[in-house]
Amino acid sequence: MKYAKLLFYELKKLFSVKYVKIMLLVFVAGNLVFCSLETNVAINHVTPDKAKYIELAIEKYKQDPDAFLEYRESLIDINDQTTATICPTGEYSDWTLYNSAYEYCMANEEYHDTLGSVIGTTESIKSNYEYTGETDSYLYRYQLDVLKHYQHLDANVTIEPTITRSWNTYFKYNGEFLFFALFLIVCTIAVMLGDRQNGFYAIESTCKNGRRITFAAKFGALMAVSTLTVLIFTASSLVAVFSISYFASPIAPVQSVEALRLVPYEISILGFFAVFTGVKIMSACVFSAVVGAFCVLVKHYAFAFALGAGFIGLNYYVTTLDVLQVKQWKYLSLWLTCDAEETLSRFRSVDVFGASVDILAVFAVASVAILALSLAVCLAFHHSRNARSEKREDIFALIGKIKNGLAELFAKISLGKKKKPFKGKTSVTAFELAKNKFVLISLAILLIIKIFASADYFMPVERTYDRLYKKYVSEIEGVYSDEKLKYIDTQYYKCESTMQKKNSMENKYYLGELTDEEFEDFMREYNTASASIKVLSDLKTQARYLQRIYKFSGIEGAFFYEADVLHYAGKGVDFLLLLFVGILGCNAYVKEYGKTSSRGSISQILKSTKKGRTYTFARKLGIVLAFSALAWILFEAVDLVFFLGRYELPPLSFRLVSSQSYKNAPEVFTLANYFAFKTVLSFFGTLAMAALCFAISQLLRDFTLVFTTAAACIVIPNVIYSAGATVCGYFDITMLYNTDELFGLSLGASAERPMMWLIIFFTFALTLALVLCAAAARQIKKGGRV
Amino acid sequence: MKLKINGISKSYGRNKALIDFSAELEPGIYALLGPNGSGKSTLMNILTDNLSADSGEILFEENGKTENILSMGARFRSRLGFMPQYPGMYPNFSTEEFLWYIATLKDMGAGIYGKEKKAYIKSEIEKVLSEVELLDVAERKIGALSGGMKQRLCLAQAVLGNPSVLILDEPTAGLDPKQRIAVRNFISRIAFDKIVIIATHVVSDIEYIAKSVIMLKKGVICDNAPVGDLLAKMQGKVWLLPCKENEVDFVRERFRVVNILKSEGGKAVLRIISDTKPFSEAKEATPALEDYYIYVFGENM
Ligand SMILES: Nc1ncnc2c1ncn2[C@@H]1O[C@H](COP(=O)(O)OP(=O)(O)OP(=O)(O)O)[C@@H](O)[C@H]1O
Ligand SMILES: [Mg+2]
Repeated sequence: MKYAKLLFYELKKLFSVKYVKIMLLVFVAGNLVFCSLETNVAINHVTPDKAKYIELAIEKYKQDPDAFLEYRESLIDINDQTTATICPTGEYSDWTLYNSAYEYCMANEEYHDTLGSVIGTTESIKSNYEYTGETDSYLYRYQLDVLKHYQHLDANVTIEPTITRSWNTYFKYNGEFLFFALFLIVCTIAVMLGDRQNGFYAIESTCKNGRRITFAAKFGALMAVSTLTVLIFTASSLVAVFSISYFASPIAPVQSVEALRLVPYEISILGFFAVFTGVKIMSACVFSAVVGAFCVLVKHYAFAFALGAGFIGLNYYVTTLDVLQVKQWKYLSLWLTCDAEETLSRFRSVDVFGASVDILAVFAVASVAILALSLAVCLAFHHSRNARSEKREDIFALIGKIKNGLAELFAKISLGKKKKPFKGKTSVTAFELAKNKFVLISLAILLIIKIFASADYFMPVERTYDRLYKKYVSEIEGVYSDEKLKYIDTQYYKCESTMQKKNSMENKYYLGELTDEEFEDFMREYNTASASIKVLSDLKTQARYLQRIYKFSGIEGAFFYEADVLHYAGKGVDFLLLLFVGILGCNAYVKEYGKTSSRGSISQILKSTKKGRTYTFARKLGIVLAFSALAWILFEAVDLVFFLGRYELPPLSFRLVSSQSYKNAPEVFTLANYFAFKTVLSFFGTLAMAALCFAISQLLRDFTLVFTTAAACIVIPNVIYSAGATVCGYFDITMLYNTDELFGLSLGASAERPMMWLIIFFTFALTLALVLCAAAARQIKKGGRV
Repeated sequence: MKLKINGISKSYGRNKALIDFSAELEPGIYALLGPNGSGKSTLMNILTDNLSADSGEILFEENGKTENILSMGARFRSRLGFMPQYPGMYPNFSTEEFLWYIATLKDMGAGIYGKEKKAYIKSEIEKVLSEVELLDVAERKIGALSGGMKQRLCLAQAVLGNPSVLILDEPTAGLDPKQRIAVRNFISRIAFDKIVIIATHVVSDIEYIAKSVIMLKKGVICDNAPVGDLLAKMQGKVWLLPCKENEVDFVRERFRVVNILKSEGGKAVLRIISDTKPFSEAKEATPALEDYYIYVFGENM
């Protein structure tokens, strides 16, 4: 009872925080928008209107399958895309409807075919193990489990022809996790550290029920919020999908959903939805419990925020691991458990001391264990003895202790030397730098990480394909000519003839007409040829491409070894630089408005001085821009050093269009001026990003609000874009300095005006940065609220 | 030099914090008195442009020139010193470093450069630090100062640079008696050429140093007069009544009792505020400012 009441108050406290409510609204709206966008661009998405007619077509199939198939064949034969006998308005042609219906009608057949091939493969692997006698191993048991599940399904599941496209869209949407994870970080920090931040903790912790039981209640509140959050986001995704798409009955077996054909359980769509939602709720609970434990341990919101973001990152990192190395364990990453197309989409089991255990069971056990551990951490470490609110009792205290220890040590070493007294300085910039000492430290740390990351990224790979490609292309490097095409052709036929000789050579060898040495020589030649043939056919495609652009546009494309250059251009978003710029910008003003308690902040004093407003604002902005520029230069330099040190550059005067990856690029771009262009853009993009974060920091003021907003705006579109939803690319602000990607998107957006989107994007971003900075400056100048 | 406040109003939603506040201030100390929530801090935040007023204007007059402080902007702020009620400070800065920062923000020593400037600022900082008795903690981090020390540091930053308009929101809150007296004397000493506005609840802090007392009641100004004038109004309204201890409650139910002075043998002397003589045994007493405060605000006593 007591506990329930405390839990209720924790929830009440949480939802009385204004930004929690705002953030929830904004994130849910964001989820709605992205999910609707994805629904709209989903292939063959079925509107309720269209569904009616597809159903009629399906009816036709059910009545007389043969007639249906025959009619469809006839449509295809004469390529008739206009006749409309089903839809009276003629909006949907028979072609469209019959093909859609065909897909659903054939689902059962296709399903059992797939199962058949899975079962077949598994059987053969299994008998392999039996043959070698390795039957007492995890892998053998795994095959048995796979067989058990899929044979059962093969015997028991029949897919009726029904329209399940919308469920397919719903289960393919995977943007939810990031939205609710970010929101849960905010909530967790508010629940676990809110009382410390507003100074109430000093009172709370002196009350009878203010410690352990309150933290148990806080933990309970976190679980409740996590559950609620998942339900809200799930509901919003459902609304987004089904307000656009046809609502398909969820009674059919889940295997009738295309993306979920291999789900290993005999269960309906509704049942699977329930299980999936349950898994999502559990994942959310685990997530917030872990972040909650971080909060309790570090007792400082900035660190907790960073750790929470790091935890998202860690889970993401796990998804990128190679499944061969980490086995199915990787499917315990929260990104994947919250993605219906991943963890739950086929039979997965992990190796627990040789036994094969279903991943769902492992997930349940691991989750409960993590929850218990987190709860234990919360109960054990929630209170520290030096509870004076002014004294640091977080990780800074530890750092402080270490620093004092070191200082004492140094004092002992340099006997008698006194600490230098403060000399005095009179430049606002100098003081701003003093406030931001950590910036230099974090830049140094990030730079070290960057060096390793860059060294790793620019590791030369010596694949046979690349080596051969390099070899051939070096022969024909330079502007296209027909002779070069001829050269490629000759080489190609040479290889082909070598390969054709294989059978006869083998025969000769068996007949003893060839010596071992001769045959080995031939085999070497054969291997080279078979590897070369792929390279040469690619080169041929390239040659034809160059020939075509010359013929149609008169552009003199060139052969050159592209892979290295493309590798450099495609290095993508530099998340380390982004992290630095983001933290630097966002942190600029939150400190000035930061309140140690629900009392005042330094901004009141700052704003009542002569130079404390616009002057300081300008200095702060200057510092943010200067450091962003510095970081950009350093990071680019690191990349460039590794790139130039390890790769060879092609002549930079070649046209960019020579590469098929840039086939729509304007003719004026040579490699050199494209790289110059890209570099200049990314420099200004970085500055614009810094200015945006800086402006947000003054406009929104509150730490959590500023950082979560920035993180959400920066990361969410990028992640969803990377997951394959091209539309999100148009909102992806990281393109500001991932200019190669932006260029590609721009080329793809319009073939006639390839630069248009790039220009719009940049103009918009720069304008936005300017407008927001101007708004921030105005706010600083005017006063307004305390 | 004059500060003219014309018809300032401010409400937070439906809650009217300040209603049509007007006053004309000249050099000297103005005491802003009023119960909790009467709008003192609101007024001060408006005077420092930390908060924008809903209506009204504040004008600064000097050498015959009158200007709105909002349009003066930095020029006005360069003459301003502000001590907020609940200030935040940088816990990682040392006392001294913080004051150097404030000096920089206030652009002290504008016009002189290099060593000379630094020497000037250094001497100014040392001066205020010694005034608020913080010289010996000059190198200590702000995070490690005691509550009262922080309060004095905040006062030091406000008076640094010799501002012409000094706005202090409860400067003596949390100070020990000795420091309280020291601060009071310090303010009174520097106030001759400054417009000083002090919000406070401790009537005795300003009773002898204030040039004028401004009373705020629920956001409305109800007095702006020298202490003497206010005391004159109280003439014949303050009474001392000797009585037995068991009669105290009886008296309290009927009159406003400011003070109960107990003496031995179950006897007490009550200080009563009443427009008429409450009992025939009562004797008239010399009024103090606190009596007036209770007279105005003590409806429920
Ligand atoms: N940020 C705010 N938002 C909403 N209302 C506020 C805010 N600050 C003050 N108020 C309200 O305005 C009124 C005046 O508050 P103010 O802080 O000016 O009083 P005060 O005279 O300084 O009180 P105290 O003596 O307690 O410091 C109060 O009713 C208060 O509730
Ligand atoms: Mg106040």
